[in-house]
Amino acid sequence: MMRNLLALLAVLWSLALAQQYRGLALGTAYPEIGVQPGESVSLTLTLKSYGLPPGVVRLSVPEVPAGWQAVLTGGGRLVRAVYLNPDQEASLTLRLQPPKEVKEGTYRFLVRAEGLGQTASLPITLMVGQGLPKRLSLEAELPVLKGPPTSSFRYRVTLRNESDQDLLVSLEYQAPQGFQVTFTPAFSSQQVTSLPVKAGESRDLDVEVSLPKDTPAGAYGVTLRAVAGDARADLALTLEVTGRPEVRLSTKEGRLSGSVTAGRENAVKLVVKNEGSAPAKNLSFSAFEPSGWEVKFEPEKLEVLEPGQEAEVTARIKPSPKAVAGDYMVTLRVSGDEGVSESLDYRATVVTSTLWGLVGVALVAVAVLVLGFAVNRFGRR
Amino acid sequence: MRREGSPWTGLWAVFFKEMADHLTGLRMRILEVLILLSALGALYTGSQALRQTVGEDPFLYLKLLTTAQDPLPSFVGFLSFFIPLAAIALAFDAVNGEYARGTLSRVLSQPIYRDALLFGKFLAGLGTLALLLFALFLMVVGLGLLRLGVPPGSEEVGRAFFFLLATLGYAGVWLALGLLFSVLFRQPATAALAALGVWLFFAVFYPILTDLAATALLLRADPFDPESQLRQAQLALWISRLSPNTLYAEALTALLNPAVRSLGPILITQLEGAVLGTPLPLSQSVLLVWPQITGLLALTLLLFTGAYVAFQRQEVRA
Repeated sequence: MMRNLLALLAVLWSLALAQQYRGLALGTAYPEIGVQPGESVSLTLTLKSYGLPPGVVRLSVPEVPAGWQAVLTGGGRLVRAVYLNPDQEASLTLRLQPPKEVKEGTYRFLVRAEGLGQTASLPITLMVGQGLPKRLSLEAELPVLKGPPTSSFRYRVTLRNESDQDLLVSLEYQAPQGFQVTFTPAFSSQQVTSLPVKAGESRDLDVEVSLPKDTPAGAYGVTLRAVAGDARADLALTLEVTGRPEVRLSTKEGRLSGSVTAGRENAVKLVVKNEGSAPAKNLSFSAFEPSGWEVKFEPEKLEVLEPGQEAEVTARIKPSPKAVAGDYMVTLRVSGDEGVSESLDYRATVVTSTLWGLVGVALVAVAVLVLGFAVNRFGRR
Repeated sequence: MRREGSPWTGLWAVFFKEMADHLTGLRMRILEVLILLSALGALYTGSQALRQTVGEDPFLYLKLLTTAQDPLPSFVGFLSFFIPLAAIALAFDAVNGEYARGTLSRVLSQPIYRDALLFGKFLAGLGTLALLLFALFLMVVGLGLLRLGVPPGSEEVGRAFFFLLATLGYAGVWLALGLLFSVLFRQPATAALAALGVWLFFAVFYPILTDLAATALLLRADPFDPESQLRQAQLALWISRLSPNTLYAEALTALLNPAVRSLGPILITQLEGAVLGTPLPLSQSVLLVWPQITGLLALTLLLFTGAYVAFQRQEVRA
């Protein structure tokens, strides 16, 4: 019984010893990977000694398929041997570069580490043609924005490269006529049309849409597209454009000056035009005129002015009867709801009435009459 | 007694004869030389000053007429001084000189009415002065072209035309006054002294008297009441406008300086919103001084009518 127990213990001991591994370990995280044709692969290898004295371990790659290049590097240099302290680990990079024209299939490599009386080898398999497909994704933080046509619509968009290789992504858009879309990388001021995205990484983009000022109110769609080879990603953005009235005031023939007779009403024809994208409401007219002057408008108010429409208004300017001849500035203004306000500086040249000129002529005529009377009365031979 | 026949008979004969006498006479020569020399001097210094100071001006020729540089007065300053003298010099012995030489009855024995004689004498004086003024104006333009190298604009020519017209009206006043005195006084020296006295009175003493008269007429002027001060200033202005010198000076101011908008005191409220310094159109400037111009013309006509009536009532067969 006792003997049996001892035998069992001995077996267990030897098993425990077997668990306590002594020797070299050469490994990598994923020894069998799929790659795209033409893609070169870098693998990180770890070499560790378990319970061995310090010493140099030689490295080699004895099995390489024809045409492939296999290079071991460490610390940025070519490496053929590694010095290992007990129970220490060294990191190495195995770079595998395919020939120019590589066929699809399975390629096997073998890495061997020899030294300290031990040997460790690591078979590596590359399955060419079985990599992940190229994939991109586009996402917007806020895909629907609202504002007047004069404001800028700025979207924050995330472009993600979901494939296993670096991509040069070109950016395209589809927008209604007259809309302009610009792409700017986040925290940069430079506009781009294409940008590189590393495998598995993402870039934030600022997408700004500017649109014509006279864009009518409504919802507009803009489609963004990121393209890299066969891979593409679409993102639909929506602009909700709110309208804004914008009123222009001018005279009918465009002249901003004219002559007005002192003390009389002078009609000046004005044209009000709504150049905005929403109806202008409650337009009222006013004037800033020199004291003693009167300015009346006909009509005094406009209830509503549709976009693109124009209305004619007559301003009746009556300068003060005492106004001195010459140039004066009169400011005519239209204002309405929603902050609509527009003014017009009119240069009025005051012309005095010619009545006094006629009085002067009459005075001279009287003098001539007196002379004629004298000639008649006192004329004699 | 009704008149018989046209008063115009023989007018042109008298006119041309008088004109020829004026233009060839030594008296006119002296005056012409005086006026030409002083005008040339004024123009030369004026253009000199303009070339140094003015870069660009739409009314360069008007500036040329009005720019004064010490010690010489401006061209118009000379002109307003010499024109009354020349007019009086042409007219002070027009009628009494004929008496003195005993030629009046000889002239009137020709088929020439007395009316025509006086008309002809007056028109010949006016024509001589007009010729002188026109020559002076052409000289201004020529000298301006030479010194400034810019031709005058149409607006400037229009303003210069009205300036000549106002000057002619001013000359007419003194010519008619000289004619009146030459009819009234038998001695040419007395007539000349009387006319020069009137001229001196209006040129020197009248401006002093206007302020005194305004204060005397309006005792209520209160230094703390701006309205009464305004009334007094306006009254003084109206009194001063009875003088032909004031009328002529105002006409010149408005015609030769297009930026002048008013000739009297104006309230600050009248200038609210006004764009200052902008030139008035010619028609407005003329309208502004139209009372002055017509006043000068009417004064000329009335003075001449006085001379005419006095002459017609005189005994000429002495």
